[in-house]
Amino acid sequence: MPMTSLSSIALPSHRRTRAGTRGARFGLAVFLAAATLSGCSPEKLAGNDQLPPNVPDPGQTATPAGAIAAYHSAIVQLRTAFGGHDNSFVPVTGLLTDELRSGDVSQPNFTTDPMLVDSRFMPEDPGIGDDSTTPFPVWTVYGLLQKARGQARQARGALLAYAPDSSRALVGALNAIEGYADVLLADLFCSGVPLSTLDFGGDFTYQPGSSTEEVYQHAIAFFDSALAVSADSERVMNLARVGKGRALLALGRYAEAAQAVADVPDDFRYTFDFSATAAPNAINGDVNRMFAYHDFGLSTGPGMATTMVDTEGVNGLSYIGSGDPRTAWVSGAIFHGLALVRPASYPTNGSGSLVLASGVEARLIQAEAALQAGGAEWLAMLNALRTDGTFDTRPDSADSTKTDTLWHAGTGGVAGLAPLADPGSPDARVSLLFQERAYWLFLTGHRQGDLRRLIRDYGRDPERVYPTGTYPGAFDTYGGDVTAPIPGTERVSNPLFTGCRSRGA
Amino acid sequence: MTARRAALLLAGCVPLAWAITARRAAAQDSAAPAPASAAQPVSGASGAAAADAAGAAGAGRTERGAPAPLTRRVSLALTDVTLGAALQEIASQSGINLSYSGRVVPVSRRVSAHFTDVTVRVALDAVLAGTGIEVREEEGRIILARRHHVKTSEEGEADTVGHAAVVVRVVDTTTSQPIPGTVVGVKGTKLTATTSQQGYALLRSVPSGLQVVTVRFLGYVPAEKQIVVPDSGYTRVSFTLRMGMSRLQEVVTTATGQRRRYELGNDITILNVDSITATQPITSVTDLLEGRVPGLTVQHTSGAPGDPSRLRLRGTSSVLRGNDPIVIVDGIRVYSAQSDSTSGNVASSQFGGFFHNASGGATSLAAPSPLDQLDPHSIETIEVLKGPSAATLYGPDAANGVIVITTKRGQAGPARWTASASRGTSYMPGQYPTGIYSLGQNSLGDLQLCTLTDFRCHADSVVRFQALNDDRYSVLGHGQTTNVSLGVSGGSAALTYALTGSYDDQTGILRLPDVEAARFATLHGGAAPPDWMQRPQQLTRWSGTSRLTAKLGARADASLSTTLTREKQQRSTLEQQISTLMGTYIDVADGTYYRTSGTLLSKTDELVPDFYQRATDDATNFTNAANVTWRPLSWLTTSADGGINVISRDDEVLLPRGMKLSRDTSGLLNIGHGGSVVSTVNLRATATAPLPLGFHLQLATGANYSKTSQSALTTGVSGLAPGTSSLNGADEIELATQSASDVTSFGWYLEPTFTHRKFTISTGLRLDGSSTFGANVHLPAFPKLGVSWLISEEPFFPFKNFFDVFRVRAAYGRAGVWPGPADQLRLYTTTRPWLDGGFQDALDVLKIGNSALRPERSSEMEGGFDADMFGDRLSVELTGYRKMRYDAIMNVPVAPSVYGNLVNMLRNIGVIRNTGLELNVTTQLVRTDPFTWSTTFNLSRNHNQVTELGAGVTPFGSNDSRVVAGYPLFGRWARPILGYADVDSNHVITRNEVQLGDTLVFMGSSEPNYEANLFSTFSFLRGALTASVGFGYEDGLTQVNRAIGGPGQSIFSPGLSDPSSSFAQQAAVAVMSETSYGLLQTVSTLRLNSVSVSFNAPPSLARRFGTQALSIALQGMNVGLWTNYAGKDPNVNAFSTGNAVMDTGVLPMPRSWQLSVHATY
Repeated sequence: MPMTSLSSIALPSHRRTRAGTRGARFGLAVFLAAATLSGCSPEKLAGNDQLPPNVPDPGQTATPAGAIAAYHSAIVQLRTAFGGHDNSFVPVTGLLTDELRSGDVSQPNFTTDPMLVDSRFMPEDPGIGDDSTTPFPVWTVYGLLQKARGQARQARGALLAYAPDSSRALVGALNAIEGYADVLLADLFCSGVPLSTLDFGGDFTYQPGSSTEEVYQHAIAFFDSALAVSADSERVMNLARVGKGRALLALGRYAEAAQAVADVPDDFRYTFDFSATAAPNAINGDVNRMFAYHDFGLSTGPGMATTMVDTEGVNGLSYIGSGDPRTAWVSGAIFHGLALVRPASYPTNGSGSLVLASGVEARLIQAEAALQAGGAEWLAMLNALRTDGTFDTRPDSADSTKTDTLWHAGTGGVAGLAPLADPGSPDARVSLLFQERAYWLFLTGHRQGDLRRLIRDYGRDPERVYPTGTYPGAFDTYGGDVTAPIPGTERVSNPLFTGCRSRGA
Repeated sequence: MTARRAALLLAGCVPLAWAITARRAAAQDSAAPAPASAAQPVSGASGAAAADAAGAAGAGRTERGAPAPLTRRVSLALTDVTLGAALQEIASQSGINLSYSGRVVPVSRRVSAHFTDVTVRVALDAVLAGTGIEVREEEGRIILARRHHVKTSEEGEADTVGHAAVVVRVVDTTTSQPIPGTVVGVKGTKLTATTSQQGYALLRSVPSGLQVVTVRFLGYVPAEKQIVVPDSGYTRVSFTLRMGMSRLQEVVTTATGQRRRYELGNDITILNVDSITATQPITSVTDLLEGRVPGLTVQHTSGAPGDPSRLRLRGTSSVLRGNDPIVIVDGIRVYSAQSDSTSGNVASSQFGGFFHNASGGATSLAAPSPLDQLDPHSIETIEVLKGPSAATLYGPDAANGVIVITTKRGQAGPARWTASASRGTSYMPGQYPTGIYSLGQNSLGDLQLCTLTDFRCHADSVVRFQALNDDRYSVLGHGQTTNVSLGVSGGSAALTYALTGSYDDQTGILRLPDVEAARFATLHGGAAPPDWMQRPQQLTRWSGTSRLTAKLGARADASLSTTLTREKQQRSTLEQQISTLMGTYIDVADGTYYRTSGTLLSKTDELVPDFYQRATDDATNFTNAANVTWRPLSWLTTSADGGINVISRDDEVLLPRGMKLSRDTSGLLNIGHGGSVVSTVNLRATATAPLPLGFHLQLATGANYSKTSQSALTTGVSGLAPGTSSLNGADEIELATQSASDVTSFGWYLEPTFTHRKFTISTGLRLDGSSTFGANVHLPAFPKLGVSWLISEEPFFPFKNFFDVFRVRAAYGRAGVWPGPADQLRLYTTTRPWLDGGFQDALDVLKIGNSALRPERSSEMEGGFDADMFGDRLSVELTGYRKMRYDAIMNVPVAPSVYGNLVNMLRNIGVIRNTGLELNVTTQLVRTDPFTWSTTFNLSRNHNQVTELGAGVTPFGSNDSRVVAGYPLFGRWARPILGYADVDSNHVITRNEVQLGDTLVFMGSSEPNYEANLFSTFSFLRGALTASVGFGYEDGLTQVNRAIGGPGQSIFSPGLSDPSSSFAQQAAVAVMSETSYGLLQTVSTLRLNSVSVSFNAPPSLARRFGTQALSIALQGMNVGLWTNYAGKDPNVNAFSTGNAVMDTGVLPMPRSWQLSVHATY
């Protein structure tokens, strides 16, 4: 190791006093003399072999291969946060909205954290001690999404530092991943999400809470960065386009949203693929598996069981009773007398592909922009989705044998989707559009953002949007939350974070 | 009146004269060289005694058989007569003609003499004392003539005729070496002088006649002698001083070299090992330390042979870093951590699931303590520096205290052999608590436990039972110990040597019950279980130590010491069946075993379910230390230490193939190799210079370099080949892990010390660097300041008659504890997730790292005094301290917005305070020739508190070991029982009738607040018979009694099933699974730690066995325990690593007795 490294240990700071510097020089001289006497060279003194068991030498990971491995991890982190965990974004937002119901409601006198989410009862923890009030699913999904952000930054730093010659699209993909993590945080959580940073080459930097609007704007910046560097990967470009369109839609910038997704082909799908095969050295064997493995699978138990629900809380859509092929269902296990219903397209062995972004979503964004712009084009676009078989192509997956969870027009369901008629009133049109989004994008993590938009951008009363009224579980009635709180652990540790700015939409 | 009594009258000091006479007689009897005090005619008193002794031996008879002139006997009763008259009286009574000249002998001098039946020699010496006249016998004539002798340099300066002078010589009793600097005076006058380097002092112009000469020197018992001073010329008097009980004169090995203890502002405990091992049962270094160092808390890991103990000096200060003191052996550092991960069995600690603790989890077996791998017989002294105020200049991790060990060095002279051997037995004293079984029958006719809350169960009987108290079922038997030690030392003035070798063999008390051995044989085709299953606890240790010291010319010397220890420890899972057996009920009538599980009894075929797993630890500990000292100038001393300590460990955990275990019957083998290498280089230079105004400067500077490398490699396999216990042929490798760490530290220091008479002020500054510091860390500096004032040596000190020595002292210092090797780094973990159709390499952040991580800093202020009183019969040392640990490294949660949930970062936050008092009292209540009684008593009190946790850090840790600001570190917390009421009036308290608090409340400290120890030694028959006892007292330790109070073992509480139990007892059982409130107990313990009776054979008897000295002793350890603890023994803890302390059915310390023989050749 060169002497500069040694100096970084012994003589670290230019801010040291003159006396201290003299002392350091004297000490260094004595130290070198001692080292010489002991037969040790300075290189050996500063050796860095200081690791606990089974932890690679950090220096050895500072390689192109290490950077690629960090990139892989970033993708996996967002995959896990999105749908690879019982309490990932898709099932948690499914509970909060009308897509899913906690299976625990059938147990008398039994209260579980999923029920708290399901019943929209999620008080904000004051953050003055152990986080005792944040429901576990909320705490978990918050951490998973933030970890995806952190890992994306770590991987981006590693790629730029150690693999500068690799495809720029890898950096673009990481930007898109971080942008998506931002979008999902903004969709689910209250206004005031802190976007702290894990600093590559440093420690970390805390940030105060950002408003929901700021978080979406933050995401858009990442998507723009992704678009700027990912020209050699159409897949990454399309992911960034859809992500940007989604974020712009959330900001009510409909025309820009439509423009952002205009180039996304109809058959595009960006999926997260899950495997039924456990990872060789995963801490738990489920790291590769979709949330449905537990939530609808054989291991269903307290705190895990979920079920599809029909017209939940008055305002919910009829996902079961409608017979819509896009939300086709099958009966599952009986849990405490409650017949659990699961989506037919969600396998329960952990494998499958969960769609993060698609051409369908792009068209829906365009349709909404068209509705905002006025005219009848929006309905034609929705009907095109329902009847045009060109939307069904191969899954966007490395494994062509896997099917994704998005219902594919043209695979037999077209006959079941009759063209829509214009309901006539503006309000009804909005309802129809959002209903189409709900069915097309069923259980893909879009419903929560949509319901908040109905409140925020379309002025609807939350009690007309979210499930409300009598709750079948121990709480009796639904609460009033439309967003999840930031966990109390954030408030305990982040001195810049002072809590949610607003719990409204 | 005998001559001795006459001498005593003259001396006016009965006990002292007795002692002198006895030593003289003993010296003549053993033909050993006489002590200096006896060899010189120091006074009329002792001279008379000596002459009397010679006469009694019959040495002065004439050829005819008549008494020689000088041995004839006379009696005198002369008061204030002339010397001439006195001589005439002697001549008259004895019939002897005395020849002298009146010009030479001052015949007109006035003398008094009262003797009965003394020899002429005694009488003449007495009346002629101080005259310079000697008695010579020439051809039968007795001639009185002027004495001729070679003058010392001091005498050369003496007064001429007409002025009397007294030459005083002072030497040490033990070493016979001169004591320079001793203040010599004449009582009632202002005459004083100070002894030279050769131990001489000259008192000029001393008034003639009877005078009392006094000598005082710090750390020694003051002495005085009555002499007759002549009118002119010289007289000589010699003193041998005995070191006082406060021992301030002792030489202390500091980081900057050797200093006198009285020069230091801090308290240091110094153990002279030979003086302890002579009367106490000592088998390890921990034994030496326990109870003898005020402020040191020793908590035993278990009673298994070789198990380490947790050593804490002045409380615990670190949450995550080690709290073990560092250890220096002959100037170099040795690996000493007893609380970190490497102190466990390398094989099992990284292969979770092999050994199970009482709560069902995997546990790490403690490996033998590196400290105890040092042979106590090879040690000369142990010095204990208790905190930063003393340890500032020792560098890395010195904030936890320093144990400085010096091995024995040889003395010039012929080879001196020592040998000792001991053989002992050990066993578990007393009875284990009995479980209370309220028994009924279930529908199958099997016994069931009828709890009070099970209203459908009808109890037939209430039985108290404990399998451990029944020899047929207990795993507790008798252990054995054997120890042999041999040493030789000697050499010449140029080269001395000391060699020590020892062998230890210990068998623990654990044994497989016969019924289980028989069951094993039934299951294995009649084969008896192997020896290791039947007697699993074994420890053997070989140790050899050598130390060579050479003079390299007049200005340099060097020493080389080497220690090699080979040790093998064996244990098995049988050890963990103690807890299982505590919860086992046996229907003795039909031999059915029932195991308790919560409130259920379940029948089982296995009395002890697991004794099939064996753990062994083979360790080799090698230390080599070299020291060179060079004094190029009179005012400059330089020295260098260099050395290495290597520990190599080969550990193994074996579950042989074919054992009956549900998990695996194909065998498991885990092999670990671990090691540590500690390298040390120290350079020192000390310069001295006089300063104006009587000040003196000593300037020390130096540099230290140390490097500690650790590594561990573990391999684990399953599916052993039949009949094998090796990796060869195994089916599958289940584990392969490797770890390594290097920590390099260096530092340099400057220590100016100013002295003025008996006032010393010492300052110092140390700067340190380490590879474990964060890259952005400033070089930490550690200052020190110490003041010591021997106020009793000052002329104005008014209480000299009361205090023999009185010193006040104060010290302040800082020291650090370094971060761990990788604590500051961002680390990663590798995974293999399924991605893009296959498994891919992925790299996650495991630990964020902290580029600003710096050492924990401790500052300590201590102050106190040392006093010797009542003629050295009482010595008191009192020290108060306040130790602050700043920048304590803690795992601080990082907000999830950085990298998700459960991310922690090591940060320097938190402040921990230890305050306390230490009192050490040494007394010699009786100090007579035939009988002495000496007692040492120490008392220490420590109060520990986490004063700050840092911003953003909430209390953390388990309820049994919690870190909360404002409370002791690792305190006990529990949800409290707020109340209970028999709402349904059925006289039974159920869970619903107990109100449990939601908030944890503090229950107590995991370390004792008060500790006291008392060692008392009785010596009879002039030391021929010695008896000693050692008591230890602890108070304030709050122990978690999981062994008898765990959810599965509530049978120990009457509240489970005894209808007569109180509601409080029932309430405790009702919530036992939710809170440990009822399991926590603040403990007071009085323990009779040691009892010893030894017989020192008279020299004549010793010589019959060909020895110079021979002793035999019967010694007992852990002889008695009186405590309010409901479990077996509160002073054990379940964990060898970390800071948790709790009793989970761990094997307590057994009681042991041993017979030992010591011989010197």
